[in-house]
Amino acid sequence: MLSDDQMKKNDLFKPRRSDLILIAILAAAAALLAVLFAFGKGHEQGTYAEVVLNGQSYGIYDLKEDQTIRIETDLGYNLIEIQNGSVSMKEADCPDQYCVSKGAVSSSADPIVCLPHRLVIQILPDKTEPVSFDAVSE
Amino acid sequence: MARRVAAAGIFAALALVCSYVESFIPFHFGVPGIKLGLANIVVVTALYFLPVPEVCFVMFLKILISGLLFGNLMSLIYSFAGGILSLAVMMILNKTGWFSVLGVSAAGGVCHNIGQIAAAMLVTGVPVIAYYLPVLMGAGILTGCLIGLVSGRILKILKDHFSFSNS
Amino acid sequence: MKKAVLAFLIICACLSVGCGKQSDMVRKDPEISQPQIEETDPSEPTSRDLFAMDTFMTLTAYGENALQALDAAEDEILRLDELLSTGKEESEIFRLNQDGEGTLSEESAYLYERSLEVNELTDGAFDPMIYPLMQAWGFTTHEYAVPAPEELAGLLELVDLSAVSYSDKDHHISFEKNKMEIDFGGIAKGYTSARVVSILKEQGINHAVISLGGNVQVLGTKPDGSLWKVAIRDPENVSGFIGVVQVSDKAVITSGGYERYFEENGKVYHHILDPKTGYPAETGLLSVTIVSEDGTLADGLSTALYVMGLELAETLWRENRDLFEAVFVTDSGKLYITEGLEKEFLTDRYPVNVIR
Repeated sequence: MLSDDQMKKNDLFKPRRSDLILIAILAAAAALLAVLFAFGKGHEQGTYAEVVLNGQSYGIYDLKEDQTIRIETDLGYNLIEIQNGSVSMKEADCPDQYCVSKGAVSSSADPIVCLPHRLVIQILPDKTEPVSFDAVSE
Repeated sequence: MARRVAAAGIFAALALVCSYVESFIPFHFGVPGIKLGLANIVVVTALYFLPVPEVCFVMFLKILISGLLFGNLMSLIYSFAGGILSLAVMMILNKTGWFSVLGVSAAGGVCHNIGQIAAAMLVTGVPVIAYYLPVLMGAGILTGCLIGLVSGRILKILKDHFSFSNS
Repeated sequence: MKKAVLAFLIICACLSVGCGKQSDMVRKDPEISQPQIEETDPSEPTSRDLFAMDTFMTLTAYGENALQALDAAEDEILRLDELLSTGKEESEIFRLNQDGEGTLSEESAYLYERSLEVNELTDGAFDPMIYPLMQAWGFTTHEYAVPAPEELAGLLELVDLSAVSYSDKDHHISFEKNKMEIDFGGIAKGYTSARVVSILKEQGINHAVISLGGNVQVLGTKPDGSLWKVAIRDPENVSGFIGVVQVSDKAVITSGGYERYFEENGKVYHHILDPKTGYPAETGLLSVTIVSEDGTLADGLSTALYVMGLELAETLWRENRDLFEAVFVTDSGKLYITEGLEKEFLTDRYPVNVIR
């Protein structure tokens, strides 16, 4: 809410240079985050998908085994499909359908999120490569 | 007083119409949270046209009713988190007088998405969702600018026809 | 100008919402980054293998004084073997078990008091008086046999700490029942590894890893400043591992039925006896690994928690979370870790259940 005075002195409706600077800073921040995430850790192909419901692990599924998983809660249902080493949301009765349109994923950096149903499918980073160790406790 | 209530009511109704219109537009990116947010045109315009309590009222009503009509309870929580953060930031930026409606709206768009992501991380307990942040921030800038430009035009027209002073 | 500064601060505040979450995102990442310590000693590891305490031991130390330090450590191991062995006729424990009374040396008294401590902590699941039972099953001599129920009932009478009188002033100990016998075997290796580590430290060693027949204890970090990686044996497939725990200055000690067992009439009997029943503990656990700064405690607890079972072990951990962390493998193939190991435990065995 502005006074008439303010309106006359300063036309707040006309784009100014300071706007462009602000927008540039915001864009730079987004780009910086994108770069940080892209070069950050955790971008691995995985062989297991974890379904997280309400912040709790619902189940872990082997991506090598083709299967469909149906999850029904009070909020609605989701039909998860695992095929050819990747996982996708085949069907859901959520209002936005973002999770379905996401398609198939197989990278730990690329979760499928169904926010309306509080459900997330994330690929667990693969750690099956032999790990070196210094001693064996047995 | 009556005029203020009436103005707030009109703005809230306009926001709902915008939400309704937008629900017809198939606009899916496979990333939750990205949408045009036509109704935000009304909110941004209200920011310059109505006193603070009324702006908050319009925002609150817009989120509540459009959430109930076109979303579900969960999306309501995310919308509120985004809405509150974006409105707060827009009000503060506006108060500085340093930016025009374009900059204010762009920052509001980004903060709307940041608020949503933060709420989603809390609710789902899956921090990996933060990977969406850069994309959502970029989308927030684009839609925020678009809304800022449109709101700027609307405000210019309104300025010629209505008084901005307290009445 | 003030307004510009204000606006900038607001933008920064908004962005920091995003940045602050980054640390959470790498929660499941295997690489635990460590502060880089300057490489003071890039020299090669020095190792020593030896047989003592009825097992095979490997000591590895880094440092200029490593050779001398390992000599001192070996001497200490042989000394403790003499002192604590229940089988060697000249050992203090052997004589005590023969006579039914005696005065404990400073060191034995310490071990007895630690045994009592673990016994109380675990509500009797660890018992230093279990030796007669171990003999009856043949686990001390490798001549295995399932004792008759009447024999076990009689021997259980002897597993009775309340029938031991001990004075913590003059360290005099006596057994009130005939044929009672004591054995520090349940904590001896943990105590020995703790002693070895402190001797290496005294000798100026900063980085070492020792394994006393699978009882692992590490000193400091690796020379490059990274954490030691200790693999944990898979009880179901003894050529494999269930995962790796990353530690510094910790003992990592595992107890499992797979370590020593025999079969009779198609039934498997393992060496971890329940002091309350006299039979091998069947609690649904296949192995228990304890991670603790206190090697003696870790050794005693690994056996005791195996006897207690997962449920009681969880409760015990919740009441003593500052003392130790643990890894459990159940007979249904499930893996449980305590909260403190969430970041330090690496595995490809999903899911990992975290006890909080």
